[in-house]
Amino acid sequence: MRKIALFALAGALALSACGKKEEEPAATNNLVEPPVENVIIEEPDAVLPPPSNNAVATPAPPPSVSEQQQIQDDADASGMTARLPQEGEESQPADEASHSAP
Amino acid sequence: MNRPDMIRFSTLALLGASVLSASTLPAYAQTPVTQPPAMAPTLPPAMVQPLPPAPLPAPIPPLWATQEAWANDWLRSGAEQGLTARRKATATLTGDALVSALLDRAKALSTGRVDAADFLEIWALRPEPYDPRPGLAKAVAEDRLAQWANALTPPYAGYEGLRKGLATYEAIRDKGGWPVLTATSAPMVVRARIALEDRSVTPTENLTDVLQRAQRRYGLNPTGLLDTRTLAALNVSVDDRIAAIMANMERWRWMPRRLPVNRVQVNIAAAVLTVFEGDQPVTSMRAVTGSPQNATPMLSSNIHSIVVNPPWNVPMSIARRELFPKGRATLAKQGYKIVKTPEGGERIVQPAGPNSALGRLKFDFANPFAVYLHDTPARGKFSSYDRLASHGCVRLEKPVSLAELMVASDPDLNGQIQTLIDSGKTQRVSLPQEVAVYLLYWTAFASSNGTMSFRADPYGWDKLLAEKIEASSSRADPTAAPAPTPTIASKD
Repeated sequence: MRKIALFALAGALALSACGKKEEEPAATNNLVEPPVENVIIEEPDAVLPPPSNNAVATPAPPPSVSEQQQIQDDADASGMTARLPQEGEESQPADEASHSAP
Repeated sequence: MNRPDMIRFSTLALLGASVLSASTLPAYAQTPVTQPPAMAPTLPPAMVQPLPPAPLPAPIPPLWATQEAWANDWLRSGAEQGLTARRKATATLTGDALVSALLDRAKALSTGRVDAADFLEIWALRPEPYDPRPGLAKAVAEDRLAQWANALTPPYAGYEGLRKGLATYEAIRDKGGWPVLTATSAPMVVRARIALEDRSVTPTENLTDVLQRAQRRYGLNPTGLLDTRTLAALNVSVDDRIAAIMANMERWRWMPRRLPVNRVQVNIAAAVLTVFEGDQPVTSMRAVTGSPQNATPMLSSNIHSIVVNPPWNVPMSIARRELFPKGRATLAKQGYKIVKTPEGGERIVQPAGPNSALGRLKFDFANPFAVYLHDTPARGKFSSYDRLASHGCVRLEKPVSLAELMVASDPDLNGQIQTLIDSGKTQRVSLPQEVAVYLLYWTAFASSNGTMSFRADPYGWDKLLAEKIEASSSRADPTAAPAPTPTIASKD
């Protein structure tokens, strides 16, 4: 009797293993919205800042410029109107009146 | 110099008017023909004599062979003075053609190549009329052509600095220019690029320092970062830099040959003001100049007075465009007053006070554009590196110190400006001496060590000037063979 039972069990196991169908896909309930998860699938890599040749990323403090240097720089920017000595002139003359062309 | 002619013309016109009026007056108003009208202008016969014939042009002696050779060489040097973008092949001239070319070149170097009729109205700083013929005739006769030629160019360090800078940038161009930089350019590439313009750069110098110096030369915020604006300035082509230098050399030719030793100069493009005393800069300050839509004119004038606590009589153009659309209630709330004009119209006045658009001081000088130097309640702009934002006036960072300088020679006014302001009273203070003021437009200038600085061309005047020269200056370099492909940079 025990032998018969063992054979029956082995046969059942063999049958179940050979005849197993592919698993059915899990039934989905189309009436239920899947929960929205705040997860980005395939999140792209964060854009890296472009390689910078600046040693520091923050602005450097303004360069130290003396008042006299600033005046000279501004004078250059306003037009270096220091008059060059012309032939026959000893130095830079200061003529307030003449606006004559050569 | 033409005043006598103008008076004669005016008098003749008056005579014509009197004849016309006499013939059209009603009979009861006419005086008998036998008597001249009592109020009619009467002129001595000498006043209506015909104009004397124009003097003949000074004859120019024939040039010797050595003079002709020198003159042809000199004519080929147009590129060195920024008259041509590159050296060009030129034919050898003789006789009248050579004399004509010399006269044209002399005029181009002395007063520029823009025809008087081509000046924009707001390019009100214009060269004096100049006839090169007498000088050339004298130079040929005395065999002093080189000295004559040397005296033609503007006798200022600024022009000379540009001339040297032009040679530097043309050499850079001839060696292939500079590379285009990006934010990823290697530090050594950036350093090498900047070193092309700034010879003080060393291979081991901190890049931040190199960049800050470059940013100061371009009028940018000296952050030491290779930011977008710095990249843009560094990537301006060398040809465009050369064109800017040439445009500024041309504007130098409009300057008077002698400037008053005491003067105020404003660079509109850089929005900066410098005070010169005894021909030396004694103080400077930031300014706010006209926006591109409200360009500050180039001009020269004399500051004759300062208005303390000035009201602002709003120009109608600004009132129509910006204030009247706000509505009367809003204007009243903002402190404006609408007043009737004698013609029956209305104008807007902003009373004097701390919020007046003119601030506490206005420096008055005659000009047809209604622009002035003045204080402003909007102080924040002075810390910006973009200071072209006014309606055309020049707003001053330190108006009180400028006013104090101008009145210092008057013992009654010396040190009194702040007191006058504090009084709250509107009053005009006449200056002990008028002070010359020059509103100039420089987009390229050399520092004393020869390094060039540049500003953007906010009004587009460099390009416009190049176009005007291109249109009118075939006479400037008549020996030049036509360029194969004319470009804007070919300013001959």
